[in-house]
Amino acid sequence: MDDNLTTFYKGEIIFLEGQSSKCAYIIDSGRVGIYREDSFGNRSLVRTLEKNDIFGEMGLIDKYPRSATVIALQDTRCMVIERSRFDYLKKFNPHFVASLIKSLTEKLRATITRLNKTDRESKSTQEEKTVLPGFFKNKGE
Amino acid sequence: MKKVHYRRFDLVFTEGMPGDCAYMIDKGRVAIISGKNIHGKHKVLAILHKDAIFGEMALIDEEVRSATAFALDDCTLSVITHKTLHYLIEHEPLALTPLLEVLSQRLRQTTKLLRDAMKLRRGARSAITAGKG
Repeated sequence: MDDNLTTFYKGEIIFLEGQSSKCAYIIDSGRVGIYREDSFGNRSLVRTLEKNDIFGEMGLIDKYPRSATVIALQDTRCMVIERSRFDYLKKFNPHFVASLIKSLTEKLRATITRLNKTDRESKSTQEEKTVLPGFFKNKGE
Repeated sequence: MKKVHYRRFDLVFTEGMPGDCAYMIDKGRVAIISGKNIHGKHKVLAILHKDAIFGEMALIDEEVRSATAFALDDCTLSVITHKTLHYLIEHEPLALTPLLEVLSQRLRQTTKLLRDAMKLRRGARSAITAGKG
């Protein structure tokens, strides 16, 4: 698997939001930051990921473009998982599937928590009610 | 996987009720609506068909149902419990592809909402600052 390892140097952009998704990464050493941009181009750090964390998997799952920008916060070595390998692992490696579900679930939870927090904050900042009464009350299951 | 049958217009679950499983549609259509009382005002959020997954949030956070689901036709649904999920992970991981897709989609939607919310908050703050100045 060593031939699938690649190193990104501190500050290097691994991929940009909106780019097409060709592979996922598992961190072997180092640390990366997940950034999101608003429509004004302000980039904010959403979370950091470390050894054994997976990122870039969403694009391989649903084939949509990258939903965030990822930048190496230190010199970071990653295992690159191309689509063919991703499909193979999904088929034959239960632990990989379990870690995918766990990773997506954790990210989803974290995002929901942030959304609810931001929602409350904007409600207390603004006198009038915002148009966001909480995603899962509106558009949930 | 355990199968359950619902007749046309049967409720699968109701908003606000506790839940601990998700469903996959084998046959029929299911409507997802919001609003506490299905006889009162409500909004149709989605009409789902065969192979669609719904109710998956309960598998994740075990919170109460955030919407109401009812059968639009006579339906057959597969029940996905925690136990089923772990069984599928071990024995039939490919069967979980739709679940991965739905999680990924929901993460994208939530991210988009978060971005909009942050923009709103920023807008509100600058409006207040401008007002004070």
